[in-house]
Amino acid sequence: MQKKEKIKEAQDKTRGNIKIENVNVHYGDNHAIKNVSMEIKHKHVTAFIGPSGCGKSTLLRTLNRMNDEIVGCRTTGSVYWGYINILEKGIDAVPLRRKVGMVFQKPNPFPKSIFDNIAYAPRIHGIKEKKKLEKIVEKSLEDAALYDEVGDRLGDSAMSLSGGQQQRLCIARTLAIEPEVILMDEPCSALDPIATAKIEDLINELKKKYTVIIVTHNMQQAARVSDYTGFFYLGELIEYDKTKKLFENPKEELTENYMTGRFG
Amino acid sequence: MNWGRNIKLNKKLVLIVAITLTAVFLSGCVGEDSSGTPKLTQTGSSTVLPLAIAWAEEFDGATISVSGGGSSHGLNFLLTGQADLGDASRLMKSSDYEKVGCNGDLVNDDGTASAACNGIMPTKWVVAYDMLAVVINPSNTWATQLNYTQLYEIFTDDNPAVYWDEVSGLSETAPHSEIEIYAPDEASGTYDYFFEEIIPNWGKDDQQANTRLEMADSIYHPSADDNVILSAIKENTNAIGFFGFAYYKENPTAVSPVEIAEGDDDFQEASLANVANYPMARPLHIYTNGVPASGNVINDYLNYILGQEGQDLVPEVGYVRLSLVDENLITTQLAKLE
Amino acid sequence: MFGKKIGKKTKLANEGNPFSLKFNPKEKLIVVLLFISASIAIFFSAAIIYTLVSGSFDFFLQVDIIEFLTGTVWVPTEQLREFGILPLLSGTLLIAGGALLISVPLGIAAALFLSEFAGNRLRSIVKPVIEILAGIPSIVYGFFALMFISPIFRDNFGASYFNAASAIIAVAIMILPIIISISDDAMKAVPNNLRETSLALGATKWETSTKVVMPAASSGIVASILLGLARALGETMVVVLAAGSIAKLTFNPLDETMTMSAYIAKVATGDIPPGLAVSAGFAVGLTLFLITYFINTVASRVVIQIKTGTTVKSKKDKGKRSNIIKRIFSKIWDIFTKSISFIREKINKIRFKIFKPKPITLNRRYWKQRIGVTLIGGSIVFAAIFLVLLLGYVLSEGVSGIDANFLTNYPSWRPEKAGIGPVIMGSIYLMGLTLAFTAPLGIGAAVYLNEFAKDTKYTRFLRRIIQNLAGVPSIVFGLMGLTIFVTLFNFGPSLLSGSLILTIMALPIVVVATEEALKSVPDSFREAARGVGSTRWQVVRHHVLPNAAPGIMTGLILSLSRAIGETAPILFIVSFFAKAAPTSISDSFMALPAQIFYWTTQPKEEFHELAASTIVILLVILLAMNAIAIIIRQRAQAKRDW
Repeated sequence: MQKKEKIKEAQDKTRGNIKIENVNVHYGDNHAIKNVSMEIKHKHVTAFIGPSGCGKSTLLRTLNRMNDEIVGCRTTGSVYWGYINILEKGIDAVPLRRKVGMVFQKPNPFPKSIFDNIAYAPRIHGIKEKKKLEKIVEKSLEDAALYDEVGDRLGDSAMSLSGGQQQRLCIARTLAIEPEVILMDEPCSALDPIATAKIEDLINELKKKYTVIIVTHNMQQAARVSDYTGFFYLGELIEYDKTKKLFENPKEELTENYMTGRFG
Repeated sequence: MNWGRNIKLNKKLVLIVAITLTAVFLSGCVGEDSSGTPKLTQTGSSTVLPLAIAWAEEFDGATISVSGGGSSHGLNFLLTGQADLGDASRLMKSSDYEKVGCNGDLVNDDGTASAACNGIMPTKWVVAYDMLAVVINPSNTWATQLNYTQLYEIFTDDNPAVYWDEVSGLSETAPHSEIEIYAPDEASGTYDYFFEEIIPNWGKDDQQANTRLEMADSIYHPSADDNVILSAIKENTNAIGFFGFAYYKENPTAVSPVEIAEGDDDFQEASLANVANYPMARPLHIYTNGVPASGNVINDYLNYILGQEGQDLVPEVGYVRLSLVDENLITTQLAKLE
Repeated sequence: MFGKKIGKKTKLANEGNPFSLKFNPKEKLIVVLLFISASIAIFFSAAIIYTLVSGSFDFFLQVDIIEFLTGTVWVPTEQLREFGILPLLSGTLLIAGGALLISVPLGIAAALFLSEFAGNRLRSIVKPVIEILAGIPSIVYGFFALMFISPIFRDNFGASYFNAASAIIAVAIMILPIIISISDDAMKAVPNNLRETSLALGATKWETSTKVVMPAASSGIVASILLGLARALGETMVVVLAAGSIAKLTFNPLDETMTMSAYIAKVATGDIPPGLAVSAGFAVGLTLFLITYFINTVASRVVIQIKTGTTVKSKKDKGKRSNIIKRIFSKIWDIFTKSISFIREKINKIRFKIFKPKPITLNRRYWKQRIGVTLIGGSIVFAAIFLVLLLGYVLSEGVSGIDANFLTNYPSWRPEKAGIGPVIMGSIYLMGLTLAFTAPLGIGAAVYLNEFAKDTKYTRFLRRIIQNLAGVPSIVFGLMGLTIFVTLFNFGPSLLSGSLILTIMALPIVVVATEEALKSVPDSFREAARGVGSTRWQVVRHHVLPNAAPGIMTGLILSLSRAIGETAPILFIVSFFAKAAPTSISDSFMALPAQIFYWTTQPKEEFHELAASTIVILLVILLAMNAIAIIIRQRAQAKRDW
């Protein structure tokens, strides 16, 4: 109980970088994340890249404690956000996830109306008045660059939207609760190039207000949108640097091999 | 390891075995019982059912399969040729003939038929008697003897008594408490028989009164299960009801018997020794297609039922053997079978 | 459905064309077989409708339909001719409605707990145990209601000896497993990524379960409620034993009353000579059938509304050309939801005038979760308690009488010699045959309707007809089976006839449960398979069916459990005595529930004890059957990826 109060208090003090220190994640016997340490820069876009199975999604999910939901998953180490180590036992994941939002790989709108999809989280967090909700929905849709397309049919089922629209809906859904960090797990892999471009533009807008961490297997995308990039291989962080530097002048041989397509 | 192939093989094997077994099983479809014992089907009244089961088990001249379904069902199956023996706790009526498309006028008042129906000539055999016991709660001391008039006042809608002390002759002895009736419902043969006894012209257009059940005044609580009726009467001090004698015989302490008089005061108790005098004793029947010829297995079966061995079973099952009612019934029917 | 017509042009184009539309005989055959499965279900629904209509024809010729529908007295004799159906209707509403009122919240709560909060091990124990409740013969429920539940109302609330309250509770327990099991399946089938998304938005597990999972599973939940309602409407034994056998216009549960189904059973199994009273039974049956049809129609519309979750009016709707009925229904639904939110607002306004509105804090949300989980966990405990009571009642009477002789002898008329050897065999053969017919027919029909047939008015109508069958009282199946299988087809009172009747009775549950299971398989699976060039049947066989297997098994378990415990449908066919078990499907047979029924109606106490012992054996067989099916279901569920 006390710690829950602490996080509320600290939420004002968590404006800052996210310091990942010596994080290890085990799925049963599988050592998925091996001793990763890095600092995510506040209000910048950081990309995690690497071949399939290298652990980037796992690390991402550690940041909003989604791994707690998986049976048999053990996480050690610390992730400092301001004063608070969010991996501590006493930390409650529920309020944490309000501040750290996540967009998944496959668009997964709820089988409800567009309006209800976005209003879902604000309602849960206590906003009941219709007018307020309408404002929030409108703003979230605008911020997600979707309002123009669906603004006149908010009562329609979210399942009737195209893949790209659904993904932007999911982003709008996340924005509705005003998080500070947005985690994106390969958000464009299920989308066509035009939808992808739209979302990449969106990410560029988002970083003005939010800290964005994006997992992607598409190097060019990482090069386009991110400020910092971390390259992972087999659960280890091989190299982490400003994107420009990493792509033009990688320090590690492994990184260079991945960039030039020799594997991955 | 090619699990796929192995599984496929197993599936095929299972299929082959299943088909073979089914074929063997289905082959029983064609042909008769190989053992040679003749097979008979007997169906109908649920009152006759326990008797039918006992006879079917002890008679070793045939394999008899016995089922219930009610007197109407039994007669129906007999008339459509689907059963060899139709058990009935009532007499055959014209409606039984009409249901299968025959002329209802061909059925006589005594339950026999003057002409065949669809090639079946239903022939009536009286095989045993059932007494109808009227019972009350053990703490009921005032209604231990009731005549037909009093029963009429309790059980019909013709100026009915609501309280026990309203029943004529009971105003001094009975308490001022509401009568509660727990008895069979209108779909029961027992119900039919009881009201035939106490309501003049029952079933005809000029029927003198309707039953208390039909009044729907919450006095008559019907049930299709006689054991339930027994429990209900056992629990309620003001209760009265009726059912087959066997239910009373098996639970002599749960309920008290009522002595009945058809006239004013000729009260008779319900007991095997007294059955010849007891006003509410009804015959139980089996109907066959015509009189079976000598040598026919049905003839043997009827001989068994009407003979000493078959009749010895009757009181064990809970009914009344023919000899206690009228010896002639046995001799005349046996004579027909010769 | 039988393929495009190959015209001249196409034929020429097909020569040497690797992509030409080949005629695939195997595929076509399978589709035809599936179509036949669906049609057979319809054929028997038609047979039942025909039975009911032809039976009540005379009735409607002689009785004014207005009097029938609005009359308040039901004394259906030739002399009195009171044919007002309202008393029977009130009895049905009271008992079925009351039972639903209890079992729906209890059942959904329990299902929610099982699916979302119980660990896998707990769930794998509790779910089968609850499903056993479904197989306990209704006669046991009837006596339980009369002997244990009824006295509580008599002694404490002044109820009459026969009262509706005892029947309401017994029926509620009886339909609980249906609601719990199918709702649980529906919720379990909701894809995990929806839960993850909700959690990622900062929702608690409770909020995720109630606001995301439950609405997503609404189709299955409503289906389970409908099936439960259908069973409650068709239940006769409990009513006849515990609630009464006389029609009374009342909504007081302490009163004695009779339902429509009970009247039909009385007419069918009793000895009323053919006449108005009997055709009145058919008229009542027809009315019941129409009522359930109406309810099913309304319910399927409700599901559509919940699923699309329209709470905000769309501006685009104005231009669309829609069905009049759809529009009327949407309007009604709109008014309904709007009035509910209106009432809510008003209540809140008043509430906030008195109490200051409390902000929704994390603390309060957690308390909601704690209370919620405790309540729903409690409902499972509640259901389990009743099971224990019922079983205790049954076992205490019956276990002592079981020995080797009992298990091998035939049911002699002498109680000390009597046993149930050939009766057990009869029931096992009956069940085996029923399963052999039901599985392909039921699953085939559902597969056809859901995977192959286009969603037209016709298929929706078909579906509703099948669902309707679930509400037909079991005795009507018996009557229909008698006319069609025994007499018309001349199968006689045989294992074949018996299993065919039970098949038709089991069909609706299997079809409904299978359809729900099929619907829960995401379309992406099908698309992916089609994308690699599979034919429709291959898609179904390799991708859809394996993933739908858990739900299908549930349907089979529930329906067969019911079939093994019912007497009414086979009442006219089963034998109550034979010395040996049947040796072929044309033989007559005995069955455990019929033996139980017969022995409980006998006066001798020894027969009652035999009945109790038989019930125990029946439950053991049921348990074994369920165990096998559950293991299969468990395996199928583990294989499934979500």
